[in-house]
Amino acid sequence: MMGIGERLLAHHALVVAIPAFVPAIIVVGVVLYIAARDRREEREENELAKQQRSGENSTHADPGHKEQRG
Amino acid sequence: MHQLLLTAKSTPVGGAALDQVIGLSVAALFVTAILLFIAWQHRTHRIEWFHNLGERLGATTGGPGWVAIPTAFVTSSLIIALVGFMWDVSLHAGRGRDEGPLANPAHYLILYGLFALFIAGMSAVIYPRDGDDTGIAAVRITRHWYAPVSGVLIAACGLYALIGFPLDDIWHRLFGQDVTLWGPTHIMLIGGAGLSTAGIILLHREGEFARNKAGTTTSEMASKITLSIAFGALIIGLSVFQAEFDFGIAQFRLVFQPMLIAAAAALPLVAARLYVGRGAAVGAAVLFLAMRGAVAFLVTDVFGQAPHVFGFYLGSAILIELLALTKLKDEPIIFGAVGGLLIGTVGSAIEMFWVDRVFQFPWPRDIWLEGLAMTVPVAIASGLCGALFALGLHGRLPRPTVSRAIVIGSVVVLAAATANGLYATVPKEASASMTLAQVGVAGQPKVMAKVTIKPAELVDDHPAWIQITAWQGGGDGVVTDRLRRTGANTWESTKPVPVGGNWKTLLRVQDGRTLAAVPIFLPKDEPLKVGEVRAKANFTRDFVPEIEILQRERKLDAPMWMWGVANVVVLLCSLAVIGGTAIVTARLSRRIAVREDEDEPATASR
Repeated sequence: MMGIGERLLAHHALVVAIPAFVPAIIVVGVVLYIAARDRREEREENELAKQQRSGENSTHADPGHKEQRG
Repeated sequence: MHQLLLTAKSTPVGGAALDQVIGLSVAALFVTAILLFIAWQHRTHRIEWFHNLGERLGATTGGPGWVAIPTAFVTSSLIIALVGFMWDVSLHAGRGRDEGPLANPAHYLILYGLFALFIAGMSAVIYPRDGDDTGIAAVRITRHWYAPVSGVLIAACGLYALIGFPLDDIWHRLFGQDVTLWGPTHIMLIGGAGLSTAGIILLHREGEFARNKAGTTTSEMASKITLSIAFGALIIGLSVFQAEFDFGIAQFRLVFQPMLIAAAAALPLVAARLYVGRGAAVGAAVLFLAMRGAVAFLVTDVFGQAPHVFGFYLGSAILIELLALTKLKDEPIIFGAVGGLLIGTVGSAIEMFWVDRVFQFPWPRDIWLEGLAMTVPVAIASGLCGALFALGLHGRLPRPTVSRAIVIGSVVVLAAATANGLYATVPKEASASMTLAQVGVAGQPKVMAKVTIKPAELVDDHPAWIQITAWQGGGDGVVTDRLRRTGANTWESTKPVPVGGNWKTLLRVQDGRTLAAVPIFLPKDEPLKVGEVRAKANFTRDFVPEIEILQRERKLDAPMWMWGVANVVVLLCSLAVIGGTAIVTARLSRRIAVREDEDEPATASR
């Protein structure tokens, strides 16, 4: 649509949002991604450590863990 | 700038020009990419200058780099946003609506300021690396990366304000461009920036604990001055809600003004005195006056836009300093309540003395009783919140039930007072007959008016205002004339007011709850499809709601439910950011309390 001020107007509100908002969302997204990745890694490491521990005293280990180790 | 001047006649009613949006988007994404790159390089030790800058800044201010860098950054961002904001309001007052959100040069300053505010908060998050100690209330991002919680709060404030920008545009599309400061999305823009100053104070406190742990100390005096400035900034942040009154174009009832001033005074002044110590409240008020004075000078005398003034606050600051000489100081909650009461009563009287001399519209007897009834509860609530903030910073918050009751109660009191203030009526079958005398020169017509209002009992002996306002005509900005009463229901001009061109000239009447206007001259406006209202020599016109004249851009035909949903969205965002500030304060307070239990001497209270 041509505005009366003979300029093309950005009509979709999301288009107008880009300069103000999207960069901020990207930055927040990157930080959240890094945090989520670290937490996942931590969980995996913990599980690994737990498995190793459970491997050491295998008499108490549950069958599930044994299977995973195998 | 030239766009504004060129398109004065046919400015569209909403929407940004696409080329501006694309240009700015590319620029913003480019800047973001650079910032992310720098952050990555810093965190992986590929660059050291960011770290060194923080160390150097920290060495001068006596804090860790993750406090020093955001503090300097937030300060500069807020100053730019404040200048942009005041400039923006003066442009709207003097020239009218914009050609979309990016057509007004002041908007670029605001946009930069708010984006920089967000980045400043993020800099506190990005700076600490290698598992640096980031104080006692840090948020874990990864196992080797802890961010100060106040940095997260500042970034959130910046984000909240930034959301206001696109939301503002959607708002204008749905409801038209409301040329008032108190559009809900405008309140988000202002509120986010204003609250971030509280974030800086919290960040400073977090930094103190990291510093204490490291065994370095800063001079007591430097810390006191820094904090007084920060509390002064908090007053500024809360005071910008009054801007319509500051410019003499208040579109709401005058009873709001004393309430807003007391609300903006009590919280920062009580908190400053309780937390920082003797002289901090006065210091904060002096900083407020100096800063607002400088901005007013810049906007009016350098940029040549509509002039504005501001509240006094120094009287209230002295009251708080005096109150702190009594034993009440040892009972912070009671101190907050009594301090609020003092500011709401004696402080308001001092403000009235100032307002009557400095502002275009004095506080007449009409608003005294209702004004006090609104101001005192809000001032007490604000003072209580100030006391809570100080207690939180000391690590001595009362029980969660008490703190929560105070914060929620304050929000409710403020909402109730605001609802009362917004309630205004337009008289039915009332009219004003006017006789206009031309006094201007050709090309710059001006008129003097004689006014008769009917029915005669519409206005009592002490109305809040009977005025003629002309605005958005370009050049002079806002022209207001308080009319001289010549009889029971007759008034006359004391000075000529402009008509013609793009001026919007109207008679405004406020008495008690009555808030109404009669148009004198309104220009033809093609995008809005409204014709000219001519300034004839003699005419009688009915009173109409002011909003129909002052905000001709408003689309009053949008469905009610949509208006409701839009307001609820803004309300939820606002409650979230207030709640966030409260939660961060509480978290910091808890950790401080635990730390003090652990080692008593390290953190002696002031």
